[in-house]
Amino acid sequence: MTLLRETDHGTPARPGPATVSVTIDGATVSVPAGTSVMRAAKEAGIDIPKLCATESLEAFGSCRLCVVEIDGARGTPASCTTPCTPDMVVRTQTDRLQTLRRGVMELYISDHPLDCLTCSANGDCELQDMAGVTGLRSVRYGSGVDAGANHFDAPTDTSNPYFQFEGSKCIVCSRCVRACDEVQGTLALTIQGRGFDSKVVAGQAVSFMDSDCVSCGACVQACPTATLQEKTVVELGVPTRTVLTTCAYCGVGCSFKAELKGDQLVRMVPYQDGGANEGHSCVKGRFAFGYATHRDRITSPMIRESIHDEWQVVSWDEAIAHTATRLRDIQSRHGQGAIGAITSSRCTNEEVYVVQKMVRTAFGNNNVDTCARVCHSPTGYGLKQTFGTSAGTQDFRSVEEADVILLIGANPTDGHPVFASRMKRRLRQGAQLIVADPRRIDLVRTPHIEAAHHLQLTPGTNVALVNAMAHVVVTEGLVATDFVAERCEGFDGWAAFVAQPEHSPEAVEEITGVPAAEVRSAARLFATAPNAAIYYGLGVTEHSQGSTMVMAMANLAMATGNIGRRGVGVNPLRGQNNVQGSCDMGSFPHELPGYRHVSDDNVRDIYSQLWGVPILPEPGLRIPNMFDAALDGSFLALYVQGEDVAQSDPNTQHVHAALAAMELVIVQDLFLNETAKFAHVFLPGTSFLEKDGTFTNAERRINRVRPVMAPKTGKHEWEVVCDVAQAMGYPMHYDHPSQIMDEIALTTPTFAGVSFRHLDEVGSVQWPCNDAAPEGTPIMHVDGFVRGKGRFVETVYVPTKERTNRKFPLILTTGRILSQYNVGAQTRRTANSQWHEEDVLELHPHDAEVRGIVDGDLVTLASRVGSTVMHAMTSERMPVGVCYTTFHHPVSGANVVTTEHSDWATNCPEYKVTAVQVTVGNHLAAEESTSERVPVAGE
Amino acid sequence: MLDDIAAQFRHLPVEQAAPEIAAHIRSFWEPRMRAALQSEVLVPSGDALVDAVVTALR
Repeated sequence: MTLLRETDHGTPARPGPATVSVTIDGATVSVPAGTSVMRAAKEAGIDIPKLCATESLEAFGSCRLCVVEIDGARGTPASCTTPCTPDMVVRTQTDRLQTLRRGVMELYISDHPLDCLTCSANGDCELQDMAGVTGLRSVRYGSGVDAGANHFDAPTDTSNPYFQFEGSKCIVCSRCVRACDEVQGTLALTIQGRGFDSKVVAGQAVSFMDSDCVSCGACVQACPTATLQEKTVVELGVPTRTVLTTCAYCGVGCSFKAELKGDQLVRMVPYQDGGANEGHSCVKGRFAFGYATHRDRITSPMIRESIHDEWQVVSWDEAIAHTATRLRDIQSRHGQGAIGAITSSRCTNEEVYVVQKMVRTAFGNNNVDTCARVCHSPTGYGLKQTFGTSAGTQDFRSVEEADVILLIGANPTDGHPVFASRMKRRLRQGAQLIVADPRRIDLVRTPHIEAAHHLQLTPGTNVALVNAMAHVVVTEGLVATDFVAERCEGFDGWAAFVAQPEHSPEAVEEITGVPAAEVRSAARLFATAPNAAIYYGLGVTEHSQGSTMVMAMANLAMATGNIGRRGVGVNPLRGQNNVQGSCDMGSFPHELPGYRHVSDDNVRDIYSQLWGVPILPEPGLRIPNMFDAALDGSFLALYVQGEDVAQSDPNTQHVHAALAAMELVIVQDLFLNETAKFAHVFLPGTSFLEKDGTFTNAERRINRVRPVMAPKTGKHEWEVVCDVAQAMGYPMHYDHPSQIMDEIALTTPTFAGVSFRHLDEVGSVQWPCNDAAPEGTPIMHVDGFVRGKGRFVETVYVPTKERTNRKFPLILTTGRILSQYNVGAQTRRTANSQWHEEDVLELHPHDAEVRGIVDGDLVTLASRVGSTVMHAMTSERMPVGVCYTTFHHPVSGANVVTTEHSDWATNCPEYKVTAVQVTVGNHLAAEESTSERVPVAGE
Repeated sequence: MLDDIAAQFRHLPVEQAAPEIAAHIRSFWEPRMRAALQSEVLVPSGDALVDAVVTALR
């Protein structure tokens, strides 16, 4: 499409029915109470000139361009700050108003460079537009230096890698400051000085790069001039066309306008009508897309006989024939179950669906798993056991009605920043926050926000903590008895269980480390709130009791009646863009699409008849089981779609040994990642800018991913998978990815109403989407749980086997930071590395001091399974006895030290609890210099 | 892995816990894993719950 310019109503919409009627320039319009005159005029098709107003921000009333005349009102009020009242009569275009507006514009232009023809915002500048609208033809005060004092020499700040601040073009409208406050919630910008000296500054008048700015881009988007401008626009010019698509980073799934000039992608701009993000973005989605065209991209298929050989570039035909032949050969020698595949949460639903179909048809087994195994598989298990379906209960917008938010094991300002901005907005409005996290994450105390409770628990004790909260709810008479009686089952047994004295906050204080009084107070706050919502992340799931903890949270939500309406719910914050979708698509070895077990004859029949082959009724191997079976010699070939298991999965040495033991590893990816070092076939993949399909985000929202450019590899990933299946003798062909979605809709009841055409018409839908809910289902379990009655499950706290001792006295927990993503394959190939060029080890100053470690020291981090080296960063965010690192960089390889302990139900690794020791210096180098090791090609 | 699963159910009577654990294993363990369990755990193992699960899986 041509460049998409969204309608800007000037001020935000107000909720409620349109009960207030006003007459504007003779037209009558009805709007909800509280609607501004400016917005009402726009809804009547009347544009009122403006500069400081924009729809994403509350009215400010500073530019005075939007003045109007109102019958019975004195003077000329600003239409942005004036709410409509019944029967108000407004005039927006009179000679008097035109004269006033022209006078305002004269003042602006007298202190603005008149370089429009060479300005980077030429054609995309609201100041330029308003000069035209007001009919400005001359400036009485002169222009340029003739106008006297001016800001033409104001410096340009180019410190940020993605955008610049050109001070000479600033009109001090405060839109950037307000965007940082209201939209992003970082409050990094301010107006310094008064009157003529007023200017926008970042932080304490430092550069943008040195300030608290998180580079979300909200200020750039809000700026009406060229002052805050993407560097790509400065370099390439204003874009001319738009492709609507979806971000491929975290599970928020933001909608973006990919803006191009010809075939050149100029910038990614968050889409106002995007259901997940509503016009906001973060530094990754907004700016970090350069990896798609990075020189490291591999765009041709390659094969090699041994992992010690050099890669040989081959044609697609040769690569596919070779792959199919090798897979069949291994099956003929080692059995049908000797091969399998891993699907990717970064790929589209359609790409994932065809991989699991290939496994179940061409491979003839159920050995398919997905990277959700190592992140949110306990969510799938726990919510299915308690609620009946493997998904979060709410849409993101729901948080706007939460009164108390319980945030457990999640750090959304880093991991899910766009949702964090929504949450922060609600918290600034007065909602209360309870944080349960070993670390003092930013949300515990950040500008204008302070958590009511920070339950700083010992890693690995989640279940004990939430059981204690439930104990308070049950024993203090805070149960929502009507809800429980009507909607749930198993309550009496569960209530008797959590009411036992050993689950009291006092009894578990020694286990969790959280003062009992704090737990009691937090539990009362949660239970007595009109609406209380739980949001959680991998700090819940990546534990030996990850599934138990998900069920414990579900218990707490049911007991307090916080399910089935807006503002409540149990909400997983998914790590990757399509974790939800990859699970929905039947990527688990025990489930066909739609979370239906392979042992269900009726479900298997659907697929057997459609696909023309029998489907095995037994579950296949999960990822950790595949590695174990590889080392046992019964699993010999693995097809890895868009994942880097060699870096992301725990106990790196074990994973590497398993990969090295296989006869055939096939990697389908953008880059030669760590896993590719063990691969025999490399099938080049496509970036999200080349994909055509759908992603499903953490709120079950199915969004279209539209191609911005043709596949640089010459083939879509789903085509490659179909070709491999075809070469193995199973006919699998689609002309277009929409046909894959049609097949998903045909066979999966929760997707029955989904099609590319429907998504193109309505934008996005949240499953279930079917005849009963053609527009989708924002809130689940409204009138009843998917499984009928919500099921209370007794959740016994079982300590992890991973214990600290004198040799490994600290607990390591891992996570991510804002600028990098997962294993860093994408973000490390962008300027985001300027914020985080290496993984560092955060530890408490006390733990550092007793080890002789000072900030910045190189330290050795060792666990029972391995050791690595990184720089130390002392931080009081950490409690004593706990240290933290990220796993974004293969050089440090944090997962060298994580263990094989895993969730009892799903095998999700226990990344969050590893007993370690930290010592100053690089002991690893000394060890390596004396050990023999077989080199791997590419290292 | 059986020990890890059993630990979650030890608060229940064996006759209630064993069928639940066995059902879980049937639902999530690939046949060769179940076969390995049968060959590696010799009944009686000294653990009544484990024995009941292994027996139930036969």
